[in-house]
Amino acid sequence: MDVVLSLRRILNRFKKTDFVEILKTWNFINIDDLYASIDFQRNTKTTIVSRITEICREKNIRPYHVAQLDLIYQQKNPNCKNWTVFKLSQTSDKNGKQETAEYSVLEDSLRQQLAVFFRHDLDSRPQGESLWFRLHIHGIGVQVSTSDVIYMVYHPHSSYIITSAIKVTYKDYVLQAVLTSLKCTQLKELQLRGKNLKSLADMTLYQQCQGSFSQYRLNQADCNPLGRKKTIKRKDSSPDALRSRLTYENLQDKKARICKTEETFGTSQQPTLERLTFQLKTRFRGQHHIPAMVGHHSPIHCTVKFEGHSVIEGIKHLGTCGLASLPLPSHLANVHSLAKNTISLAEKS
Amino acid sequence: MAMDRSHMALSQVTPQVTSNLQQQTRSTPWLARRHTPYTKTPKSRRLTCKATRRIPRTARSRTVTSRVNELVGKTWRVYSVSPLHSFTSTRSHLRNYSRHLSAYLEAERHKGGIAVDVQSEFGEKASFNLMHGIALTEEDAEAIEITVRSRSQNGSKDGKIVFTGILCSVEYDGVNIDKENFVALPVFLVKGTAAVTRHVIAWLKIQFDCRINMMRFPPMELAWMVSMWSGLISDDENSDVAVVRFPSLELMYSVPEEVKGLKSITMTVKAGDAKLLWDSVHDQDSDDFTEEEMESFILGLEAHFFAHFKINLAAMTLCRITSSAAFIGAEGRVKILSEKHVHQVLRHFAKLVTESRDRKSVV
Repeated sequence: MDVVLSLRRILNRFKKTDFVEILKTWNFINIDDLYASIDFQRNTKTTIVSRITEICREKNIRPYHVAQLDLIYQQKNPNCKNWTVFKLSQTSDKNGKQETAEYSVLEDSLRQQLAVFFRHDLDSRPQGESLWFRLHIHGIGVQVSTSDVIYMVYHPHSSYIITSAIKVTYKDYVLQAVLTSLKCTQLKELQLRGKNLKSLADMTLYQQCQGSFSQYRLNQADCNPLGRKKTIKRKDSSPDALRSRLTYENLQDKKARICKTEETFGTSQQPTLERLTFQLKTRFRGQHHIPAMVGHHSPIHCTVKFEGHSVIEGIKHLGTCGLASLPLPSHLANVHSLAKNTISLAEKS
Repeated sequence: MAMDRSHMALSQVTPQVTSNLQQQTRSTPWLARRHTPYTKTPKSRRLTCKATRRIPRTARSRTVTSRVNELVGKTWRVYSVSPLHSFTSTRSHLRNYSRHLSAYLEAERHKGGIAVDVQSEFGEKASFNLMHGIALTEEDAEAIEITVRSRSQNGSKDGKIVFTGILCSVEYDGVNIDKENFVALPVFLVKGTAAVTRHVIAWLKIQFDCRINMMRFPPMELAWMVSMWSGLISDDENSDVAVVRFPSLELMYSVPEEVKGLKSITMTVKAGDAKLLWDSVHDQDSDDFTEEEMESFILGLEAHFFAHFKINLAAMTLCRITSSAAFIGAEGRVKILSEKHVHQVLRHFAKLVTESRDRKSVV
């Protein structure tokens, strides 16, 4: 595995404008030395990358440094990968025995457990309240393929871990190692997948305070007592106000809908999910249009998929735009608190 | 005793009574629709083709193999073609057309800076062939396949195919066509690069004095197609194994722009349940599928969705359907899923071409 080749590949992923900041965070090369030979504004990206690789080669760069740079890149662009969420749980007789939140201890114990199964490289880097792991499993052959590198994000003291895609052959072993190193007894894969890492983390960690309760978490409930309120109302000179002939016929209706939507979803941004799937196994409800189905009580199997760049926001807007009749059913209205991508609906027995 | 709806008080018209009324009253033979000539959706549509097997024309054609299965499993773009003037399908004429088209493509390549096909450096070679097995009745013209291959460096070896187009006709009722001078091949299935497609279509328009338009499927047509073809799983195939293999009924609705964040809603019904719904809607003895049956099918599915999600699907646009016969997209893409359904799908497209032509002549 050529260290310099993988370094060049990672450097090529960055944007030209980010190089100065990244190099300062990485702290492997002294940035002042670089200013002599590279003009970050004028030179092309290829020139900058080749100059940096040259300097790193002279300094004898190790795989550990390349891994740190890779983690910096992933932390900066977390929304490129498909993430899956796992829930860890302990049996009740282990109460009171909290695992440590010390990052180095966690990394060492995970490395020990993984060493049982494969030859690997494990690196970690903290970001805010979470700890990122980069696990590179040495496959057969010299080539490094992207499927051999797994990223895991763990919030210490929480019972959730978020991972990127793991190859099927490695999955059981990696999860077993994670389980043992974090001293838990069970690990369950949640039906929650997505691209936006922050939203997935929010949905699982703050599951109980989404929707209208998010105003308390985001400190929007109390107004600033020292803030000044504008008492003088300025004249509304927007073009709509000037055209006094334009009125909304159903202004009351619109306001009522917006009010109801804010009660269920809250006013802040909803967590981002790209896809939401419902599996329906209920009896047919369109008998008004198909009278011949009146006698049938057997369930109809349906799958409904909502897709978009932010599905929960879209569902919130469906109510305000009038395409859905409010109040929305609970499995749609509470989707922000369910922490699930795939939901099954069956007949109430 | 036919009850006249206008004499009943408003409070008496309950849902149960209304459905009874719809079945009993046909006081006038004309629909209120007669006053809207612009969108004349037909009252009913044929489900199956009239001729179920190919009638051989000459003794020679009995040995020719049917190439219908080449249409299956590929995504085609559909165009509608007006009747072609002075088109003959003898071997010598087809060879002439191939030479003309190749020369035209060569001229286009030399003309502008934009190459006909960016990858081919040595130009393209076109060929016209007869394609057997698609035309059904005596009146249908034999299907023509147009292939454009990029020329490779070694002159004898054929390069890769950059364009395939199939002009075909299945049960096309060309009532007003002058049979001597015109040949009707109304459906053009195209698969190829954008540049080559544009040039081939331009050449066809010039050579045969015809009009070629991309066929787009509005939501109404998609609704017709999905309702008609959902029942195509025959009983002997309706075992559990077959149900897994056959694609289920799928409707994809695109959400309007003002709803930010949500792009599409897809509803998929398992094949066996779709067949059950279709059987309860359709009159088993009849070969025609009526407008009321289509409406009940679609409205039934939308009502089932509404009962679970309180979202009005009718307010959104149907943009793609999947049935056991084919995948159809609103922008004119089609992928036929099995050999058995090729003729039905093509027959339906030929019918749509006729209807749009009639609509244009009325307006």
